[in-house]
Amino acid sequence: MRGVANRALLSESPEGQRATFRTLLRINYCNGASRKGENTLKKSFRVDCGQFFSRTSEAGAVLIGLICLVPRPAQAVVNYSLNWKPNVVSVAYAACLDAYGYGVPGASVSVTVNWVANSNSHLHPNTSGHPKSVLSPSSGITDSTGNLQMQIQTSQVGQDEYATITCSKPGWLFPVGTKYFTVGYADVYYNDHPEFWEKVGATSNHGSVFYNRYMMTSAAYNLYYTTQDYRNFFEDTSLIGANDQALPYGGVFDLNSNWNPPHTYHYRGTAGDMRGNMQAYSIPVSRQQWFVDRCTFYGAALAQIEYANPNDSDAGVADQRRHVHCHWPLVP
Amino acid sequence: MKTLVSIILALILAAATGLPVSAQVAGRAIISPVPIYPREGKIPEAWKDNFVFLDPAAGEVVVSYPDEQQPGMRVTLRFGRHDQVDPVIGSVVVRQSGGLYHYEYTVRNGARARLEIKLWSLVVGSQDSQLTGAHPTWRTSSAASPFSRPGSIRPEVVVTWSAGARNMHLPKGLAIGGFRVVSSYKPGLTLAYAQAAVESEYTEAAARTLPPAVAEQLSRIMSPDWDTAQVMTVGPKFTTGDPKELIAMDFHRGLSQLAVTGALKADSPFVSSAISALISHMQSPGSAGPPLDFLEKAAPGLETEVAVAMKLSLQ
Repeated sequence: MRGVANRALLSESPEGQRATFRTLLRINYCNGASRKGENTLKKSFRVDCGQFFSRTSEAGAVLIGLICLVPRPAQAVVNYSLNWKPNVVSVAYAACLDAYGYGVPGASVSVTVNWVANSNSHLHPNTSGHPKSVLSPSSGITDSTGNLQMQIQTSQVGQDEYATITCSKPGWLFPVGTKYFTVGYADVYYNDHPEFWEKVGATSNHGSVFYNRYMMTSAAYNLYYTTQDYRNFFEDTSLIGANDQALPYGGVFDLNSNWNPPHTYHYRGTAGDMRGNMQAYSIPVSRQQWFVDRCTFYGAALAQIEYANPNDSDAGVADQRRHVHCHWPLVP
Repeated sequence: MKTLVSIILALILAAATGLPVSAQVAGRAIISPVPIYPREGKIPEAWKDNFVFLDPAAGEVVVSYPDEQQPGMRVTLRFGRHDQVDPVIGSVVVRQSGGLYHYEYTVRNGARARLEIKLWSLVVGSQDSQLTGAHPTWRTSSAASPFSRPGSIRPEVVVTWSAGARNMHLPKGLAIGGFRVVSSYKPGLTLAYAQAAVESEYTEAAARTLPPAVAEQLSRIMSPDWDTAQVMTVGPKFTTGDPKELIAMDFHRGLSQLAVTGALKADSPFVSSAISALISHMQSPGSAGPPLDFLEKAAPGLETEVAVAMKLSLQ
């Protein structure tokens, strides 16, 4: 019967293939195949998964893909969704468990935190002083219940991190534990309107112009409406150069790759900078105050022209960093 | 015979590791948002302000707080944890002629499971008007994602498949296929999570009976972040308009996570080449996207699934 099912897998319509696939899985994992069945299954696995890339037939691709995914080892179950905001303190408990899941008193437990390189588009992982979240204490002896209470203070830098938990006690062998987590703000999203904005502001240490434009929704709307009004008022405007907003997870946006400010207002996804240095897509110097006023009209907490020089004009500026900065209040 | 083999293996292990033969192989080293419940159930004075505990031995959360009606007594409740399952999810994705993407999944409840899977969910990008999910026997629904993860391109939703009747739950060691999603979104690495069928369910009604301080502590451990069994798989994530730079960054993040957690080997030819190529593209993007010559290095299984997703979304 299993042999019949296997032949069906190779010959029926896509609908039939899926039904047969389920049958094969049941054989493989539920019933314990007979020797004949095992042979049949092994035969069906003799498919080069590399064929996937040369297949043009969709049904064929489904077939090979289904076969290739069957003999899968289990993934470790991980809390991938854990995240804390930057610069917060939380209580956590480290514990060493015995084989039955009971806490082991008197065990030595140590927890170390490491950052994941290049996360949150900080493409300068090895510049000095790379911060990470701090545990206090980071090691100790479990109490009579098997617990060690600790505090975790997240860093200002948004990034992926992981904690490695190591237990030891004479006569015991504890596997090392790992807990993955993200430090960042979950309420900032990619924010681009290519019909209005020309993306500018790429750096080698924070990547292309796609990684510096994440914003909270309310602030994003206000910047959008401000730009829309500007373009309606100055009808000769094509695009405006949109520079830094926030990094994908928010947190420290270290322009100097030193994990420190300036650019504090760009931590939270409430701010946007518009080019004002008279390069391509710049807001002309003579019109920048109009843009500032419009930001204020839409509720900006701060709108100003930065790196301005008294002699700046539409003919040129003294400091190429000149730009219009607008940021809005944090809306919970 | 099996005992003899076990003894020989233990001796070999002891010789290889330098550990004494009598060493006990313990369970795990963990971090939890609430303390571990004492083995004898006696809560020490030092924990008097802790009302919620994790009981890994039972796979439950223990709630214990002073009984205002009976001084000196405690109210003790137990709720089952939904993460006591071991989902292993396989995916196949194909781009259909109309431009939609057809995703098909199999779910296995692996060897480490203690309980049956009653539902599983796939996190997908929101605002996809073409999104549909189906299964021949499990009920399909969708809702806002219970997770909020930094770095999302857009808000996310979940497609959830529920077994319904108890005899439809997925026991340990069994697998079921035929979970389908059709979407206009291109594939990326996303979260999937499963939840166990538990005897003692924590409900809204139960929550209302608890003192506020107890409910607050309970919310830490009963949140979806801590109370679901999560894996990464391939799912609908990117619109056709999403820049390749964002897609590359997202794959870099997913691969890094899989490598750090050991789900993929960090030093495998595919993973190491892919991460290197993606970082180069993030630093100096080209209009064609990152070179994908590493796809051929993918090993069968999850690596191949990721490679297929990268091919469909980055090529």
